[in-house]
Amino acid sequence: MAFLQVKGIFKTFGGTPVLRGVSLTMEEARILCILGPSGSGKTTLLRVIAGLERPEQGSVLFKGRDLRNIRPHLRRFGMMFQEYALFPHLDVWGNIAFGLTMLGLPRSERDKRTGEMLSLVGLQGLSGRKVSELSGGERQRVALARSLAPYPRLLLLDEPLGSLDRGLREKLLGDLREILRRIGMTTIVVTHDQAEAFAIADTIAVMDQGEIAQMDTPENLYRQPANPDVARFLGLVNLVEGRVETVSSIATPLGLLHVSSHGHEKDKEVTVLIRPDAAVIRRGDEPAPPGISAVEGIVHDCLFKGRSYHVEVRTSGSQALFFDLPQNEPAPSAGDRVRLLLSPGAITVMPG
Amino acid sequence: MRPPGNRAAILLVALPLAFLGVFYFYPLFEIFSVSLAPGGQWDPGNIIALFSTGSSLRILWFTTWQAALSTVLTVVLALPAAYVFARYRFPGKSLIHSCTAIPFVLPSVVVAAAFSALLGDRGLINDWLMETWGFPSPPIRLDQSIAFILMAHVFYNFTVVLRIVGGFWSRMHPDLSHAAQVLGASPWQAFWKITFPVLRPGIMAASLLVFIFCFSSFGVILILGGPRYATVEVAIYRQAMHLFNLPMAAALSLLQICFLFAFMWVYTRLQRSASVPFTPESLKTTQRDIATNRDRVVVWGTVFLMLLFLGSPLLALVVRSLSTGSGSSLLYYRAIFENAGQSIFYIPPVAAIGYSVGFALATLVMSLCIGLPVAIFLSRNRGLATSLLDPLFMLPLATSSVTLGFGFIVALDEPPLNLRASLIIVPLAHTLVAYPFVVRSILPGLRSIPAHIRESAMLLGAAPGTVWWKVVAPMVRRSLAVGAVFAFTVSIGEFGATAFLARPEVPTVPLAIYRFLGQPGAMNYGQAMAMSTILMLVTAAGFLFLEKLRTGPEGEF
Repeated sequence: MAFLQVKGIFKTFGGTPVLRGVSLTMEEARILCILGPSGSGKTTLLRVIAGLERPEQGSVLFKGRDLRNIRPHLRRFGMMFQEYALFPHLDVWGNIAFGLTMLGLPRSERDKRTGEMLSLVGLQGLSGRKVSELSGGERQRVALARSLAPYPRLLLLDEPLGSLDRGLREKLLGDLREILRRIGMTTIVVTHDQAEAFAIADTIAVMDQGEIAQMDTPENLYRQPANPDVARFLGLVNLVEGRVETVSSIATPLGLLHVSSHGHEKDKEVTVLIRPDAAVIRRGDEPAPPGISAVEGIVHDCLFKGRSYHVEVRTSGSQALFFDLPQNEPAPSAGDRVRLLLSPGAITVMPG
Repeated sequence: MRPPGNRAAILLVALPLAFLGVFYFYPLFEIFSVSLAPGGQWDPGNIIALFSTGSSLRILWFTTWQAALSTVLTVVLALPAAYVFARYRFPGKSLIHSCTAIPFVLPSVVVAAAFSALLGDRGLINDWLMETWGFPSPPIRLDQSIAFILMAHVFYNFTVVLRIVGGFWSRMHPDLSHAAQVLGASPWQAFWKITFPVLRPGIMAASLLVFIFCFSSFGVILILGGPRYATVEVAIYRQAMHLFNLPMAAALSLLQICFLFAFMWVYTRLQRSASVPFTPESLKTTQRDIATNRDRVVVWGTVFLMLLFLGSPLLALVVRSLSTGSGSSLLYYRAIFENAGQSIFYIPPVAAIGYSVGFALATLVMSLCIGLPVAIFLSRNRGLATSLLDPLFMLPLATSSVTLGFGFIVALDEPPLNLRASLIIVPLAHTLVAYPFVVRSILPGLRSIPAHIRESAMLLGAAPGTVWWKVVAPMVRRSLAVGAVFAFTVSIGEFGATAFLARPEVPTVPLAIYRFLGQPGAMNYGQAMAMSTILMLVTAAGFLFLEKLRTGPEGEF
């Protein structure tokens, strides 16, 4: 039996559909990331699971039990809110101990657990601090400790790093991941940031306009996006329209590309995705090895990004393609005419 | 423009300071001396008598508990409405929000008349019950009962709680309560452990304000309570005007002054410490549209009950003023203009309207003359002078109008300041009540003008006077209008001080209503209703005009 099962959730706000038949399943001790652009309904889904919103249709099952009539305070799910929602009239200790008080734990046990939580998030010295005196990163830790304290059966994190600045985010992301793995917490994280999702999740569910467009491991998601929208959202922009020619080649404006048609029938309209790490530059005229596609174009721009060069190439069909090239090879400069060899593993075929 | 030196600045506030000295501190001093040294000799006998006789302690006790009970009832009844206004967007919201404040700005006489028109022995509901069900006498007996007083106080102060607490609540993120629920708190626990403590500064401030208003309640108690009930205010009035026991009235006034100053001091402290403990959220995140049936019931149910409670007395007033023994007609309105012969005033009541308007216009002019220089003075930070003079000029606000009126009759009754017989005494007292509102209306407007606007006008060649007329004045025109309307509205409805000062043959509208209500007969009652309706319409119109003009944040008191 699945640990958590969400079945066919529909939810509208003022006539606008926000969730349109969302279903997903997750297992215990896993980290699921719901990834989507703002307005895709991911926060609403999280609130439905927490019981803060009532769906018009569909159900949430926890270990096979329908939660429809279980109110939020009886579900024993932890939730970390987007702006943390720390209680302004309580200090750090009071915030973390709140859920334990609600559980009715004896004082000694409550104090012990609160202390443990403080050290888990590394805030031992701050227990008497007012919430308004905390920095952004400290708030995030208090919120995490508070939601973890009352032994939740499932942890829900809504944009846990959303309101922090970039440098802090990477550090806290690592900490968060480490803490969640260490205690084996079953967690659903909502985020709009692909890098965050890839870094933390066992499974990613990409949401788009109130539906789950694709749910898979980070690796599979990256290698094989289900459709062009998912690909674009993942930051994969090299999308080319094409038509299936044979089982191993697709006709495109760039020429014939050698790639498995992934079971699409001959003559079917498809979209071909070329990942940015797919290309190797060749300046000479040597022919491409068999099974490797070659594309010709003119370098339009080349940006040094530290670990790699970000190169924009315009093909003769004036299609713009973007590639990340390793920095240890000599960089092309704008105006160079180049030949790009594309390895078949870096090309994916999606339905039109 | 060179910032005016201190000498010029002092000139600016010389007139207001003189006014305050002669018409506020001098009467206050006279109250002290009449109560502590009647006849020029130190004699604390009155004060001792005040605390040793049971009757004044009873008055003080009644004043306190009715105010406390009124406050609790107001808070409990207004909290649901505050929640609805804080958390929901719904059509007509801002208009409804404005309208809830109308009871608060109505003269106390009108509020009393309105409740009498709805639920009094001669009121609409009793009439209907007697006609339809054949009761021989009015079945609802609220006249001269504490319940009547409490209802009127809740009606009056509902909007205070709605605005202050609602304003607070609308800035609190709903996720605070959600977070508590996810952590295992039931909605009820979440309210008591999270929402209530976070709102507490707002609730405390609103409660204290309502308590102060009810503690110094005069017109409502005098009219609806009858002879059985007396607050300190009413006792001062009776001692001075019915029993002519000025030393006793002065002793009671002293008591009232001390209590109100103490309350105001606490309120100011509270406001300073009640700086919002959380980062205020934008209304976009804290308010939502009506989506579910539950929302619909909660919002429209609350709004309906609230409007029923706030609207029905006012509606009853209008209906009562139009319904005569022989169907509905304008009989009572015509009578206001006609009955000269057997009138209790020796003059047609319409003259009272004329006097009221005259007094109000005089108050308007004088309040602007006093309030504008004060506002200009306070708009610049002048260090110690500002921080001393700002509360000093606001003192009249913390003094009940009955005390002000009483102070006038004990202080301004002998040469060189014998004003008892002069008509000007009424607008003078009204000005004392009204000018702090003028200052408070103009000050934000003046302060919001950045210095560099004046400076650039100056660099463009404008002399200081020209800068004032061409740049500053046009920018504060709105707030000037607000202050002017405020002064007019305050004056036209003023009852407490006027009851002491107006001569019998020169009554104002609130006085005329009070006297009509105290007379038997349908004609007198009907005319009270008609005049109250007129006064209500004038004040409500003035207030709605203000709401349109006002630019500042809502819910500031």
